[in-house]
Amino acid sequence: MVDNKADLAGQFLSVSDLYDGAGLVDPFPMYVDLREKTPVAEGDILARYGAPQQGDATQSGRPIVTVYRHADVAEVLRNQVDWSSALLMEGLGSFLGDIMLTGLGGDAHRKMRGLLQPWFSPASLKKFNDSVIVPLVRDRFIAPLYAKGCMDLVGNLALPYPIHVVYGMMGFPDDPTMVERFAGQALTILASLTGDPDKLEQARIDAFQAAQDLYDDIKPIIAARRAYGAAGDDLIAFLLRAEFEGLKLDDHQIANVVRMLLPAAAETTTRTLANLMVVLFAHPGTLARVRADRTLVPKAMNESMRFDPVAGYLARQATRDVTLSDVTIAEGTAASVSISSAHRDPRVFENPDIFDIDRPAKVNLGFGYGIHLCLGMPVAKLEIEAAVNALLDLPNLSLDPDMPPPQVRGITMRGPDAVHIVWDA
Amino acid sequence: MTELNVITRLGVSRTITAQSGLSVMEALRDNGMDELLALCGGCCSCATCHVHVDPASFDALPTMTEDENDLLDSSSHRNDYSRLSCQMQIDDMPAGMTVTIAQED
Repeated sequence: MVDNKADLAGQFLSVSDLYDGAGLVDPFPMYVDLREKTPVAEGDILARYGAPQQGDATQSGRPIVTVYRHADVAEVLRNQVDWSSALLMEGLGSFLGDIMLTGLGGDAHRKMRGLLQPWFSPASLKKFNDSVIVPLVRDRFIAPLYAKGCMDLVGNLALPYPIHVVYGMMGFPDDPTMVERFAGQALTILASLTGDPDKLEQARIDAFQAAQDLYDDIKPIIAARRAYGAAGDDLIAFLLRAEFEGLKLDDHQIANVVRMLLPAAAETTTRTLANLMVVLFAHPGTLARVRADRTLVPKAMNESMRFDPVAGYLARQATRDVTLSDVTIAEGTAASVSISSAHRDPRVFENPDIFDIDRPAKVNLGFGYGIHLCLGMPVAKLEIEAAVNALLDLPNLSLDPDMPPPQVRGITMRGPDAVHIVWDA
Repeated sequence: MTELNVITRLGVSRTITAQSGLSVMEALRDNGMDELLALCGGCCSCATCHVHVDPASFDALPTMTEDENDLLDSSSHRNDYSRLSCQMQIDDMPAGMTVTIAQED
């Protein structure tokens, strides 16, 4: 039985532990050889490191390759004819329902994404910057700690803040306790995945239960909103009114859409914000430049997502025999594509191991690529920019010299457990 | 090979040579126009390859699909001559076309 009141910080660490890769801190050196010598390698590297596999979530023994070069990774993600994402329905899709966007293709995907897209457009989201995002980060999360002069950037800000932003924008009631409980449930679904064959059956039962609990909590909120009249700019109100080529959603479908978005909506932003600040602290010259010129914040974010992407792996399945880097991959084989490796591919990025916010923009796969490009990307960018700006406004911000330095860890879903910072209060 | 005139976000004009068979977006990227993000890679799923086409050429282009039209609606910088450059083919382009890279949303 899954603990419904599972605490947020504990669930976050459970997800980090799943992808820890047996204490892997710096996976990037090993990708040099893999990329050059075996660009399309037999087996899933995630399995070798004991992490959950997207390419074979039920551990059926499906043939699988790992793809390491940028051109090949981009091709797999962009070519939706030769590469299908339907296999994702065996993993998270089996818990999150049959409208999980990342697992859909063709017309079903086009219609559902078309229905959602208007709410997620940068132009439509801008209004939330002033009404929700900036006030939350500055007033609710940073102001109460200001006089203290120190905090754990992960526990005090990067973990709770995106959750409160996303739930506020979705239109959930402003009840911090409820919001954190829902967020805990959403993380429980992710934490229930496993790379351990002995735990697979129980893990799937737990994930299914967590998903059902979350659905049971969301559905009455949707029904109440519909009864109230569906006014407002929030996502739930938008979904109650939305129509795309004749597609309209009932309460059950809206509950499924909302539930599908929750596990994707928060802790990816947590890790991305934390990784960005860690890499800036490690490069004091760049930190000083960004602090002095805030137009550089988006560049720093993009380069941080290249340098150390959170979503390091995605998976697809070949719909026919396909060739990548002169290796023929048989129809039905899954590809576990390494964004972490692709982002250090010297064919695309000069001096790839250097963090350089001035490098020419090349195809960045950090939010995915192709038709499944992260729908929430504009939300994440607004959230991260607002948080970085608020943090850089803290006088003399630095890492806390009396606390252990932050350590980004994992084979994928990379992030630090804590980032202790201090400033002049 | 066809010539395409480009005006960057900073207002700098350039003429690039574009290969047959490519989309305008791919031609811009191949010529190092990195400010054109084209985040989804050209499958009409974002609006980050948004350009404004010169009015004379605009009408000579094949009409846009509903999907492209919907995505352009999501940009604050849409005008009467907006297109997604991934949805225009070099081979369909009228001679002497100029595209201005739209401001980022």
